[in-house]
Amino acid sequence: MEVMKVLREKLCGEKVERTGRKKAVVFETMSFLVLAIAIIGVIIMLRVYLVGGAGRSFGLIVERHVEEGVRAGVDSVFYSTEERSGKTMLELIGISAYVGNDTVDFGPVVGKINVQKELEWRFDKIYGKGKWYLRAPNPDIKPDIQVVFVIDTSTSMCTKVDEMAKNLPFLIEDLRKIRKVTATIYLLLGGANCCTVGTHEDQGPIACSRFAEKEYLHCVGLTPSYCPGLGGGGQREEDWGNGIACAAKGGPKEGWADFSIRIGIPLSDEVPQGSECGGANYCCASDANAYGAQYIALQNGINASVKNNLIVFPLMGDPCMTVCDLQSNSDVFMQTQCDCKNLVTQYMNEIASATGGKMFNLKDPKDVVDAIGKVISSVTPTRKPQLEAGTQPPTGVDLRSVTVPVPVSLSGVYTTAYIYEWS
Amino acid sequence: MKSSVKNSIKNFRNIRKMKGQKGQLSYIIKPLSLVMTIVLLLILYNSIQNFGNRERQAQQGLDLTADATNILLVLANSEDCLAYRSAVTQGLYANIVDVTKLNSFAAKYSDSEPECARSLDFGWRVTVIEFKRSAGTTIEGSKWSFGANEFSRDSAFRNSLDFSIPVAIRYSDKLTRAGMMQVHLVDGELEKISGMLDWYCEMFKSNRFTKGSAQIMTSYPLSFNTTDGELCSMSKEKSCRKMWCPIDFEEIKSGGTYILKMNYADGAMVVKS
Repeated sequence: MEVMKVLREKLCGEKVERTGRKKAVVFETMSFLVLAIAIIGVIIMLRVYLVGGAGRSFGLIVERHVEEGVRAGVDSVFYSTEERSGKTMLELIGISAYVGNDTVDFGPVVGKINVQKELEWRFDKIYGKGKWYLRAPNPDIKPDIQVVFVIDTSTSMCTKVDEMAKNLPFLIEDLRKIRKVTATIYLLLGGANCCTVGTHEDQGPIACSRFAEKEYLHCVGLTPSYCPGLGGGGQREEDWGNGIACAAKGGPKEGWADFSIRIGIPLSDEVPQGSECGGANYCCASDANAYGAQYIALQNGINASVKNNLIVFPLMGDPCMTVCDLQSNSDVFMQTQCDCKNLVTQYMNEIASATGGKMFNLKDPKDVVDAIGKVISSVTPTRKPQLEAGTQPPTGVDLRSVTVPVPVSLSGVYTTAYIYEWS
Repeated sequence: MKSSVKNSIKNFRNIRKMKGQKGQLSYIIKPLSLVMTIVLLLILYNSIQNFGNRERQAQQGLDLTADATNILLVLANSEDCLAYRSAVTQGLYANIVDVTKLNSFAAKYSDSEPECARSLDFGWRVTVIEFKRSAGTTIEGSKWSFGANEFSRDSAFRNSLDFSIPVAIRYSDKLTRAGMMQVHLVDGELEKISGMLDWYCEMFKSNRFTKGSAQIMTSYPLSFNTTDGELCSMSKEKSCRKMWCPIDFEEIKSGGTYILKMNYADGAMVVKS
């Protein structure tokens, strides 16, 4: 029993000692692990805050340089000039926004300039091809419309001119409620005395006095001093070919405005310089190879119109009609003019298609004003919603953007150019 | 009873045996822990050193990058440098450089940096290239270059950087061309030492200091060429930098760390090591 008791006590003591040693080993291992974790933690912290911080600062500095570079790139391109027009790219974007088209026509000397292409080669060189995109919304601008009329003043035009004189001011006034429209009427030299068919009542000559002068409506007599070569070998009062050439070159009374829509409306029922063809009455100019004076006058009109961006909409009065001749105090059927109707149609169509216009065949003198209204509303050009250049940004890239206000100086408004760059 | 006594004795012996083993284990673990702790501490020390170096390098790169951007912006936007000022509006235009100033800088600063954008830490040379269109392709037109044309070499060279910024080059009201201004910036011993001397020169000239001292580190002998006013580092190939002040410079005949003592007398800076 005693032995058992002693052994039991010893066994208990050993157990306590064994447990204590076990704990000590565990604590030793744990403390080493804690130390190792602490050191690893310190290393990670150093890496993250010390080096990582410097790396982040470096990234920020580089990003600042890139941002400055993108802005400088925009300045560099926008203030560089297009060498034919001498205008800066910023001005060209403004003009393109005004006309609502990427291509701006600066007339016969400078020619057409594609603003999109001019931007593209510059930005491609600076940012790299496919690394940028520009968008400049075109504001809702309706460019000014300037109309020049060239009116045949022979006897057969009396009723048409009368209609025009009565109604044109109202038509222009109505149109001006929506947009700026001005009209200048050039009366070809001659000015026949008008009279009423049947009664032969004197109606006075076709002259500017018939048109009430207004701020937006002017009438000017087209004299040889203003328009050399007028009439040529035929009749001046019917030379709408050379007449439209002079109107295209000289412009309306106020002069051509920059980037306005220019419309030319010859109103006649004969070929230029008269269907009598200088009294020969052979309508020879129907053969273009003959180069008759009439055809040359037409060509002068076409060439000058094309050079000056004049869109020609000829209005052809009915040549097969009876007119009052005050001189003989009788009514006369215009046989010669009627014979040349097809030739007049051909000439008028030719100038219309060469300039982007359309010929109107007036069946009744009262149709004049309707036709003019149709002409003016038909020339409203299709405007692009915005100027776009470069490549649409791909998804998932970091974009840097610059926004630049662009003055549209011709209309007094601003648009905004948004430029995006990515690398 | 006998068998239980026998078992107890057997247990007691086993425990004794285990106790011996535990004692042996503790003898292994303790030194092992100590060795591993030392190893960990060494790793920590090494990491701190390593990170410190990397941070210093990053800082140097940071300074170099920041200076490159600043130099380009100052050149393109400061009226004292190349920026164009309109005679009509008296306004400066961002990043538009005047071609007459460009021509003048290219002629005047063919081998040194202009004062308007001088860096006291780094040396640089700038090249301006214009772009134009010819026969449907974009070509490089005129080219202008100015700034230092010699930099620290070999062991004296630390780092360099090439950065560029777009500019517009204005010839007249009707002609401005797009272009690019590129800077080659160099971090080296010669640039640091000459920058420090130039800084002291300015301080002496403006009477802000009468004397000063600074510690420098050079890998190569240094001398001053009084004829050209250049401080030269005698690396395998000599490289020199123009200084702002005439210097009476005591030649440094071998590489090392020196403390330079400077003062200003009779319109020249006296530098002794």
